[in-house]
Amino acid sequence: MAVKFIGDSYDFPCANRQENYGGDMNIYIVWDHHLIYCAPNTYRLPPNMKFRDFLEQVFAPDYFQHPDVEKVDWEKGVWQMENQPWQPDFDKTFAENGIAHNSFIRVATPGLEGLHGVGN
Amino acid sequence: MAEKPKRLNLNQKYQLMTRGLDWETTYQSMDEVFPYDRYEGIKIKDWDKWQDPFRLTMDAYWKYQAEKERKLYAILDSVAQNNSQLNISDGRYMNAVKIWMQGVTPLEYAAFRGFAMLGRGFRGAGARVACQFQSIDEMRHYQTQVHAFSHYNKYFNGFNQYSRIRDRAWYLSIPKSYFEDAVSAGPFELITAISFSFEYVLTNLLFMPFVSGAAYNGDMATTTFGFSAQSDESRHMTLGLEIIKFMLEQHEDNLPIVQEWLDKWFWRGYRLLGLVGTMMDYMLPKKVMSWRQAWEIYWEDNGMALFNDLARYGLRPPKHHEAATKEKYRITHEFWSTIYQFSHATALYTWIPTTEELDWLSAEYGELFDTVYRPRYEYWQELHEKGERFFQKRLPVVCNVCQIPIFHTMPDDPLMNCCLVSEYKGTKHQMCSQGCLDIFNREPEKYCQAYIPPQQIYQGNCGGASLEDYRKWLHIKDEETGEYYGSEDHVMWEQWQAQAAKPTGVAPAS
Repeated sequence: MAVKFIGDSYDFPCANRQENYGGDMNIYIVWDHHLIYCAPNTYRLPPNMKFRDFLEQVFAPDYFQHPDVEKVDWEKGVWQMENQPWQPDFDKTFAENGIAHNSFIRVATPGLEGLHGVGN
Repeated sequence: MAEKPKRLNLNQKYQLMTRGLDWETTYQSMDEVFPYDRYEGIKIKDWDKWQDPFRLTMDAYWKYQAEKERKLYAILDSVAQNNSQLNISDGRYMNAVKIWMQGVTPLEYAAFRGFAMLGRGFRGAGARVACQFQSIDEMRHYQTQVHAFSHYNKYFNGFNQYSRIRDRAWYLSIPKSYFEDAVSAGPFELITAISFSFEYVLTNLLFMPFVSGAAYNGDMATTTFGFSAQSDESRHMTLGLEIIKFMLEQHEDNLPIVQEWLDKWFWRGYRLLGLVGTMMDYMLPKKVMSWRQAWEIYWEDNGMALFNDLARYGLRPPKHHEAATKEKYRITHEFWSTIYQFSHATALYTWIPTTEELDWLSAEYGELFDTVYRPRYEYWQELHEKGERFFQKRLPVVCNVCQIPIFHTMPDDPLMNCCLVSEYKGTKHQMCSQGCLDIFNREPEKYCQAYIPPQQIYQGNCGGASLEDYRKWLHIKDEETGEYYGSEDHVMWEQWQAQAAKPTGVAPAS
């Protein structure tokens, strides 16, 4: 079912298309079962950034008030992209890993189930 | 003896002063004069079948409203003269009023505009007149709320620039986008969205907690405009039910269209009300009822009874209402956790509830609250006491439909964020729930245009890339945001309490 409209056409560009990011891209990522940080985070980053650099220098520091961040080993994580199983290569870039503009990544870290073991 | 002049009865007067003033246009076709009331596919065979149960005419309307206005402003004067701001239950309460001022009062104005469009858009005179009255009501509600709250603006932060932050602040894009979605639809969808789904089905969940909450918490200004608006609200609700019955009685082809609108607007309304439920559970120092209890009474009992009545028209309850009911134990805690950690980017203060308040929440919400949310709050309280008040520095993913940060969890797993993806024109879009995903997929052409605050910040359209830059662009000052305890509002409130506690008329001890 499509939108109903008056006139000859109803055709507008997506507000969050990649060309609005000046060569960068927008990515979304959540560390499951660490819900004191309420929602998946969003980042504007260059596609040639190494995935490991992102995790260690950008993503992990954002969880600085969570005690689990000291213990995490991302390589032991269970990864998903667009809610489907997926395995990143940590020494490759976003682009080489197939991470595109507006990709949604989630990672679970078995054994680190958040504060009190209840996903906080 | 001269014959006594005849008086019109109410019905005759209504006929003459509404439909009697209407005519079939001939210089221009009716389709040219009313170009918007057919493209949605709603078929109306006979506009004269429209029933306006109120039979309201302009002269009577002015008279009633003027009387209410006189009473309202007499009380607002006395609120100001008697320093009624001292009588509220606690300084924290004022944040419930700020949420209303920033989020809901601008909706009254948006409704004024929407109903003005409807008051011109329908070709049936009865429906047009009813919408014109409602348009004026909404403008009046907007004005009286601004006047009522202006007294609090003299003392408390967070009221002074509601119209700017309504257009800019991430958390206010939730109500703003809700209404803009409705007014950018056709006239029948707009009136279904606002008059039926919102004012008829869900309004008790909005007005009841706020106005009763105001009364419980000693807020005379808000209580008074609430009562002043009440008779208008009952008229609006009746219009909502009338439009649904009218569409369904006019043509059988209307049923599937109306059902889709109800599915959509129930879910959008429910998502929006999460903000109100959070206010009930967390921002009212004296509680009226919990969100869970309100949901059970006003949706599970009353809402389902309404849909049982409507079954004779072929309507079924809106899609995903079961998911909404599953969320009743968690939605307000998830929402408060979100506002708490992002309150440095709002014109609101937040706090961890007191022990007594946590006990009340435990009693209302049971096991899930005790195992998940209470320990979370206790952890944040510990951080706060160590001088490390918890704030989230990174921008969240926001739902492309309801525009709420995706704190929502999966219907059957309250510990897992739910983030669903739909691709349109080569761009991926994220949604918080199956309900919002369905809405997106039904009209992706529309929602792909959504102005989503974190995306716009990163695109460089909101003053800069950091939350600090963004806050400057909002014109929100540091002292208006963040933690309540130690804030300017809190310090002022404590000073008032100390002054009130001093005995008067007794000479100070030497």
